Amino acid sequence: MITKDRFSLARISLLIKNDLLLNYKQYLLLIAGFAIVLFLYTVNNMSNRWADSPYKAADYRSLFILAFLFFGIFFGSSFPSFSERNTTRTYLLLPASNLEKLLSQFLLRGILGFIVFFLVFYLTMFFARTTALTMEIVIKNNISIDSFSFLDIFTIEKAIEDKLIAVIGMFSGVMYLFTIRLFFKRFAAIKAIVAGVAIVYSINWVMILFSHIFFPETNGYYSYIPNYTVMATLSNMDLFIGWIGFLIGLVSFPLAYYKLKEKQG
Amino acid sequence: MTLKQRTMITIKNLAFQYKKKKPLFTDFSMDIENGSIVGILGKNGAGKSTLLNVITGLLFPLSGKVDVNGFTPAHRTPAFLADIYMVQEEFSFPSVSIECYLKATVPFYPSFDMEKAERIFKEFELQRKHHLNKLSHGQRKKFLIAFALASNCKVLIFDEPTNGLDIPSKSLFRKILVSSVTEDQLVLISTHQVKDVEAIIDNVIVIDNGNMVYQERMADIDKKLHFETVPSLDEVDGLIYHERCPSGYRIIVPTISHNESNIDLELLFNAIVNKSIKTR
Repeated sequence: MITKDRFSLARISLLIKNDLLLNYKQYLLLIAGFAIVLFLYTVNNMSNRWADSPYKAADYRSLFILAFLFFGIFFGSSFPSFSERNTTRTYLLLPASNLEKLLSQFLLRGILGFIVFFLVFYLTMFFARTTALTMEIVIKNNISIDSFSFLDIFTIEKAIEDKLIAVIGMFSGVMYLFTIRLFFKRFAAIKAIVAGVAIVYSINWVMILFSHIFFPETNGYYSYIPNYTVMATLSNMDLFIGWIGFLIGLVSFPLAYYKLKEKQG
Repeated sequence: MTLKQRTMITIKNLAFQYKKKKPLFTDFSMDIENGSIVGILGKNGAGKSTLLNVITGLLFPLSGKVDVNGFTPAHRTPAFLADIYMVQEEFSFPSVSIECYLKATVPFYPSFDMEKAERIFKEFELQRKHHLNKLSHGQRKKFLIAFALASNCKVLIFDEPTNGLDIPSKSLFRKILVSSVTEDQLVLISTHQVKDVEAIIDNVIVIDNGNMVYQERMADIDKKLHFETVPSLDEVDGLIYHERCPSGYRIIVPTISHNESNIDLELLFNAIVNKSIKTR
């Protein structure tokens, strides 16, 4: 018997097992659908090149960003039981603490989901390239296709600060989707994206307002942000975006816990 | 075996209201001991289901104290949730078999008795290979009832358990419930179909307009009230309440001698809500 009051790793693993057993069909369908669409899109992309515009390692990057957005939506669809009142009640009454429920979803969708995403993306790219290389059109047009490597995706000719901000941005983005899911019942991921766009627009309007207050020479719907270097290659805007991202990532988990704790059925 | 009675549920001065609605409970209090099957009766909208949701921790009270089996339900601690099971009136299942559902859910309930579950499945004609979403509403309800009883939780809550069950299943439900529940358990049955449960409950609670207007043991009701059918009201002394029926009148009168009568819960309920019986 599990006796630990609020936190038990055994119960977290039970919650993960429970989710996998009850939703495995949806997960398998999702993975298969994702892989098939990605495979077809990539093969089509590769075969539509010419000898003078080969498929470069960098071309995988935009595909990865697009696929990562899909992962974000998946992560933002955590707590699948919360889409319906009856299943919400059943889930809330499942004998585990709120923290354990939150952690189990984070581990299952965030960590395990991310590993599966990486694996599926790698395998899809590998098979897409292998398939494309055997296609008549690719052979006839002498299209060269670089092999896929995750190293190439992350090897960007940019400063370490920019890379850090990109990673923080990706992390805070998915954490935002994960947290805001608890604020909505149905179509949570889509609503979260809409809410995100609304937040970005609101920030923009605030910036416009501040520009008009502090820099009266600003005209119309433009915001004026003086650009200067804080240190080395780090600009004030980089620092601002980095901090916003960091703060979102930082408050997301406690906010998600609070929302789950306050959730009623 | 001696029954050790202890207060399983204590509610003191509970206040609750849904957003943008008038208060449902303003100062609700009650105590319930273990070892009994309690029928919670009330009209639609009286607050029966809300009360059950507060007891399970699904809804949080605005004020007041709620103690269930030594826990505060709103905290929803694992130990509390592992010892309380509610069969909801409306429910949804994932698209899996009974076998898969059991594998995924049973480990959360340390007192779950798989042999008992198998026995009840057999009586309800359910098989592990059955797909939950391919079963009829009544069969799915039977599965939930079987799961609840096999969980051996200290507090079992059934919200309108007989809704959707056919006549043989209702009778089977009563038989299985009575034979499955032990003395250290407490069973709460909320229903407005009083006829379905009057033979099995040993405590009655009536809720009206957010207040508990009546709480009595069935044995005590029998000592105080006498139920019978008479052709006319002319020679009835001390009439408390009456209703017309095809053969005359169903009446409630005070019990004078020791002649026992079958308690007509529906008649009693109507008498209570019509204020013919002195309430709290």
